[in-house]
Amino acid sequence: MRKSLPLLSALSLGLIIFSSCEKDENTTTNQTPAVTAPTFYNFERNNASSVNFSGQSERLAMGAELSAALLDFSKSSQDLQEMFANADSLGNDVDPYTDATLNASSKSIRSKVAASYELFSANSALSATIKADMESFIDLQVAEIYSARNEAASAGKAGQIADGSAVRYVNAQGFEYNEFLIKSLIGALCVDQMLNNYLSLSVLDEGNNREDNDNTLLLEGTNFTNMEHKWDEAYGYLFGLADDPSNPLTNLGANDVFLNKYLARVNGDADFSSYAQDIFNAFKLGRAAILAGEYSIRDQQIAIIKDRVSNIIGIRSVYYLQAAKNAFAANQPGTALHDLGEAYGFIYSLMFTQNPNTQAPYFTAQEVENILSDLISQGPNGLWDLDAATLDNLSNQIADRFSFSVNQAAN
Amino acid sequence: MMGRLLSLFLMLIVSFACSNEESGDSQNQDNFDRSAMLVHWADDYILPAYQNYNREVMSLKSAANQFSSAPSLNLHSDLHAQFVKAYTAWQWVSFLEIGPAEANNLRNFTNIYPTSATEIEQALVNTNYNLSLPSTFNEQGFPAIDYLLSGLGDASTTVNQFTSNANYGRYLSALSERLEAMSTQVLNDWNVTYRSEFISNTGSSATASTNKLINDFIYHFEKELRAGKVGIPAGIFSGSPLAQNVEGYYSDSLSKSLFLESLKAHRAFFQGSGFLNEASGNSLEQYLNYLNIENQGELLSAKIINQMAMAESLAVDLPASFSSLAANSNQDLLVLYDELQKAVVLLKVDMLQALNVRVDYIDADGD
Repeated sequence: MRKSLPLLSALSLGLIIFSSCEKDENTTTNQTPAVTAPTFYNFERNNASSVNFSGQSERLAMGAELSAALLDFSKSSQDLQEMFANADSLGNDVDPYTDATLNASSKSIRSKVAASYELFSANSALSATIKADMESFIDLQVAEIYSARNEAASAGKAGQIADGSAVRYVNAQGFEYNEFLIKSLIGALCVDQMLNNYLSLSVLDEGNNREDNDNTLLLEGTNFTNMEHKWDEAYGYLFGLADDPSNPLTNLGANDVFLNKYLARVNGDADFSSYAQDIFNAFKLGRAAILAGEYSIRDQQIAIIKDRVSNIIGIRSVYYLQAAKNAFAANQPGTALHDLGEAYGFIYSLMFTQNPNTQAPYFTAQEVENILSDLISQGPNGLWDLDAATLDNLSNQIADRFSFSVNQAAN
Repeated sequence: MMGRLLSLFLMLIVSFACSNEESGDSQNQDNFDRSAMLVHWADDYILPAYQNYNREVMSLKSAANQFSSAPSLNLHSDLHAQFVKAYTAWQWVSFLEIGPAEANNLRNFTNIYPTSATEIEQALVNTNYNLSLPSTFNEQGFPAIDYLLSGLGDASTTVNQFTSNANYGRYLSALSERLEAMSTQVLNDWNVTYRSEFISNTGSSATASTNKLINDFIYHFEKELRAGKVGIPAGIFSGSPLAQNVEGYYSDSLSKSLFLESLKAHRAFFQGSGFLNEASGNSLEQYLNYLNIENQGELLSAKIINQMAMAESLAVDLPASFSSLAANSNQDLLVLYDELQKAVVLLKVDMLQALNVRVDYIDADGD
């Protein structure tokens, strides 16, 4: 034991140097010869894939149908709520989707909203409030917007408004509830499940998960260990609708209106152009590390994913606030309101982020509520009354918590 | 380590240089006479082009009303000919989305294609249309008139349809009256108030006339000429060709001539040759030459003009229908798209950098 100590400390010194370099280079793959990430997210045993995230793909597909249905004016509030819950108000099974496989599914969006282990296992009150927020966006979309769909919107008046060649539907305060809902779900469903549940050590290492994983003890009737499956489920919330989920960066942003689409957007900004590859590499390497039982390598990848995914939410929050400021200045209120609808949802999503250094969200639920209140309460006409100073102020408040600048996010 | 520090340092310098360049403010304005350029644009291009367009849509309105009140093959033929003339005149003013046109959302209400046959058929049954709603973009303008004139069947089928169902004539009249009303409004605003506002806004800030119209011009070249008329039908943005997405789809053989007219308008504006027979003046070509901007040993202005000429000569040799090209010989459209894309890069990157004008639009989110 004694003899090996110098070697150990030399090793750890090496590690320190390495990790200080890591920050400069943003590399994740070269530091650990013990485990290598495969080119694709393909993992097999017994000549079959050990990867499975069908439940995540189904929820994302349900969300895509719900997103389109919010602007189908033949729908009732009940229709939409059933698409959200995949059940009627009494909990009975319903068939609300056009895709038969989704109707046959036992999954739902609602059951996984604000439902992570870390944030909500001991905060069911907040979870219920968030679920109720989502449901109220749906009800208000029908109550305030469907009836005014053939009117022209203006400050204080609900209706439709042009955003370039697109049409947006807003309430009297300029709220685009369909945007509020879908963008809030990016946080409340995708990010919360990914970062605060499946990538939580409490979930990955729950019970005998490590021992079972070390012994390749597969879950009954499956081809994967419990830990492998948790990891895949996190992956599924980002890449579950890709044409080829094992090689998802080739059509990033194409099939998915949730987190995947905004990873593509952020990655398209030269300031953040390594994001997609960083996250994909971290998922592959982490999964390979689980297979090799190298949990410290796994945990380094978790930190990378938490950082990048949380930053996506922060960057898009600021991006849309700034876009709205520019659109108001160019006298394009329809564009500005649409940007603000997106901003509202991304800001709502901030409460589901997780700072890998503190293990806490970048913004608490209360802080998010305060920002949103500032956003919608500048005057009697809500979003119509926002001025550039307020939008800059809110942008700075958000960017200050992250390592990006307002300018980097805005362009 | 030194190497990395050095490259970090270099990167910092580079990024400072970049952000400096991008600020696009007025501090280092050159001495080119922007004011004279604005007067040339207004008096030799914009006003005569709007006047010409307004005359053509007025004639379109009366031809449409005549046909609607007494549908016949002769009147259908007259009306279609006038439709083509008005649609052609539109190509000259389409990119002028500034001032009154911008405020009235003129382009979106005039030329969103593909139009929606389904929504048109639903709308024309009613008597009270609200064509000022943005949700009706794809139920009106030239593409909707194109559908009514050529999308119901051949000429005699169309005449029979208009004869047996008065809803078609009523809707056609409403569409042509709206085109005329919007055009008259924009022309009047230019004459009464906006010309003086436009030519006196001589600065070089993001909201100055020069900066805004240059952006409108490039936006149109990129999104409407390159993408809308060629790239989208060729499947550049969708993976497979979309033959029904060409401009003037129902008239079938109109798409190439509208493309060529638009390209001609862009070139005339760039070169300062004015609208048709109007006087020439200083425009972007002269501006770039004044600054003596070269690109790989050649005048940038000459490269841009050559690139436009290259696209034009390619297109001239193509068959008249881009729709059947997209369906049957899409490679030809892809080649044309590539030449247009080269012009976009010269305009949007090289020219804007040289003129110290910042791009004021980003690729639409579409979400």
